[in-house]
Amino acid sequence: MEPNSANVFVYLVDDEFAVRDALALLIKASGWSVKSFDCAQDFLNNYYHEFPGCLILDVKMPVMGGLELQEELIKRNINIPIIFISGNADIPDSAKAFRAGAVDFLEKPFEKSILLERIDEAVQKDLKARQQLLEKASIQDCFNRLTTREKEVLQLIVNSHSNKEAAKILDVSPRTIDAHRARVMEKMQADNVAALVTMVMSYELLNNAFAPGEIQ
Amino acid sequence: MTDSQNLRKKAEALLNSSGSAFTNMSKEDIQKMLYELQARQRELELQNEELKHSQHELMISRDRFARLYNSSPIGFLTLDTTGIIKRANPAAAKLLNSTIEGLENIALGKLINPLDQDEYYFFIRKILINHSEQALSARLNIISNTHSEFFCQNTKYFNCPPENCLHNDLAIYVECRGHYNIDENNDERICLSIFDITATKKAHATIACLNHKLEEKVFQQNQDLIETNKELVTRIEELKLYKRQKIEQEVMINAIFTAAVEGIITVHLSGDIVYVNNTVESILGYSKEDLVNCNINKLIPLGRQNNPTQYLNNISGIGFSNAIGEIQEVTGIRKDGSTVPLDISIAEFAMSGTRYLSIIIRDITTRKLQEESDQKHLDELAHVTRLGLMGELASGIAHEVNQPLTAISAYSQACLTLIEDNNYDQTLLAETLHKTSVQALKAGQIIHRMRDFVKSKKIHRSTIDINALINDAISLCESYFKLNSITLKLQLKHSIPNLCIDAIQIEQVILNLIKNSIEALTNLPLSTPRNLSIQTAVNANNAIEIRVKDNGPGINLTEQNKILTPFYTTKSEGMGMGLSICRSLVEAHKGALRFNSEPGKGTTFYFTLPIEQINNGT
Repeated sequence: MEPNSANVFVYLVDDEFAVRDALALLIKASGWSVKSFDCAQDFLNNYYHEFPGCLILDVKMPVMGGLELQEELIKRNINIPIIFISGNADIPDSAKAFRAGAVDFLEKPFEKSILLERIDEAVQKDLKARQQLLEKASIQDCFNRLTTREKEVLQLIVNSHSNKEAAKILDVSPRTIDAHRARVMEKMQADNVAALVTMVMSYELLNNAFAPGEIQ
Repeated sequence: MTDSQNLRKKAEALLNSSGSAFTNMSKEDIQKMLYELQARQRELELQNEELKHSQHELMISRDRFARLYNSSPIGFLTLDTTGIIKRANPAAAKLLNSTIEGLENIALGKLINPLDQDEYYFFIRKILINHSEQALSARLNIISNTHSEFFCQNTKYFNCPPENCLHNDLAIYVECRGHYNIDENNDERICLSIFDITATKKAHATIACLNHKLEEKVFQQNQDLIETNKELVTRIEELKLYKRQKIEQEVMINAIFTAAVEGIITVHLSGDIVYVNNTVESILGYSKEDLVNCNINKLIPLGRQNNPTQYLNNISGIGFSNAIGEIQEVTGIRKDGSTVPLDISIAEFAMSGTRYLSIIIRDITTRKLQEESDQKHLDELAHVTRLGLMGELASGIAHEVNQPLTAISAYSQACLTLIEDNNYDQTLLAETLHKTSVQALKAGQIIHRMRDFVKSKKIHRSTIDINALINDAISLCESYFKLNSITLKLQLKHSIPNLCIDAIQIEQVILNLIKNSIEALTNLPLSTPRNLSIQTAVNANNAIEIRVKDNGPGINLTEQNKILTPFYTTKSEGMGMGLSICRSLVEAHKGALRFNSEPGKGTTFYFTLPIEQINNGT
């Protein structure tokens, strides 16, 4: 992804005017579109989820601090990657930020090269996440088209039962299982069983709804 | 008589010899006998005459006796041996309230009061047995009607109960004297004289009564006198004690005068010294002899003090009231010409109509040195705590400095990025460079302020605008307000008079109070708004009052008493010196540091600084 590609925004939230002004200038000079805010609330009001990007966030701010904003974003299901910047970073704060998925935690003042590197990394992450989301949505769509019986068969396959075993568990003939299995593969657009299992596991399609012990 | 008897016998014998004898007798003998008889006749005639005369005398005597017996005021009674009255005279009859005839053959015992019957019986018996004269005092069995109207004159004067008074006794008292006698008929008789002694008795009783009363009165007066005497003795003892105490007091006061650490000088209103104690000698180096009659002005030149007229006036007796009772600092001059700082207090008193001044002086050289050393210590301690305070504030200040540094770094890197492009915008570059230098200056200022705050060790008073000082202090902890989401509200009074204070020390006080408030506020949950306000005002006592107020959790009551004392702290890392130093610093500026705190509502610390005349300091 090129820095100056259209519709990618670097959001900057810092209450200190000079820092905000200087960083905005620096990032802009490096070719990014920058939207800067002096408080967390202002950012929340003006953030558009449609556009990819990243957030450069000051930790210590009056009213709502950086870490609180991070929590609030998670609560609102906004997954914008965050680069924290702090004047007096302390370990508990940074640990908390990383646990909640921060890209990095930079101590003021910092090198231009590092900042730009992290921005790049964060934007890539966001783009990737957005793509995954799209993929997940299409697979979920496929999954939703399966019948209840087909979902049961899928569960047994994922749990590495053979056709025979599956037939015995569901009390049907192996031939029937074969038919279900072929339909599942077709509906899920999977080339082979391995791809099918990967799909189910990585998007957590079956979840708790079909725990193995609960079938029947 | 013998002669006449003999004669008679002789004559009778002759007669009996019947005449014959005469015949036988010679003439001569007859003649002689005749002669003798004639003589005898004459003798007898004489005797007869004498007898007649004697009888006459006896009759006179008997009449006289009878008259006496009948008219005597004393009663006479003649009793037989059984006590029956045989004879009585009119006085006795009257006394016994009867007639002479009525009394005859009556037993006297019946007339005697039954209470005195025994006495009477023994009286009669003794007379009959001993044949001696006896006396009896007894009451009669009859009631007097002559005494009944008598009453005691003394009841007017004494409140004696009437039943005890003899005057109200209606009995008749009599005294009887009796002796044994045998009368002309050879009967045994008792002769009694009886007389009324009621009046005498009552008179005696009155006398006894009066005597008794008199004794009582004398006794009472005696008691009173004893009482008075006792009181007088006590008074005398008291006076003696008082006198002794006075003497002891004088001794004590003399001892105090001699031993006093203070010099005590007594002067006339003119200023001439009357008396000094030993300490004055040692303070001023003069001997007593030098001092007496010398003028006080020579020792303590009051005229040259700050307020010359006042002291001169004091000494000449005009307008004392200002100086009396107040302790003031003056400078004394020793004999060798050196000076000595003194505390002086003056009292006025009068002795025998002359007015004097009692002047007490105390050498305060040591205290002065102590004060100087205390001040030095305070300054040093303030400096040490200031370093500590700065240490505690350091991370905030570092953050504060870090912000412009971050900006500088970003601006300059932006400039570098800009000039990589050949067609860079020169205006933008210049603008950015300007912003960079502004940030660098800002960082520098904070560093300066911090260094100024820490380095100054010596007290240095200068004319300061307190509001500017507060703003300086705030700039050092601005980042804390931000980091801890504290809203600062400044209510500084405009055009407030300048103060002559040590700016660094007062800034230290303000910073300390702000820091405490910040720490209190960080104990509040984040949902609660944290407010800190700083106010300045001029109060009624012409002092500037600075208030630092927060809405923190407040200080609980048990801690409120302790927080201003040294080494008391509620913080795990605190030394407990901050507030106690603050108080000392404010007090060194003649101000006062106080606080109000309400648990759950917040705390306000406030201190005052007097507005002094700036032209006073030279």
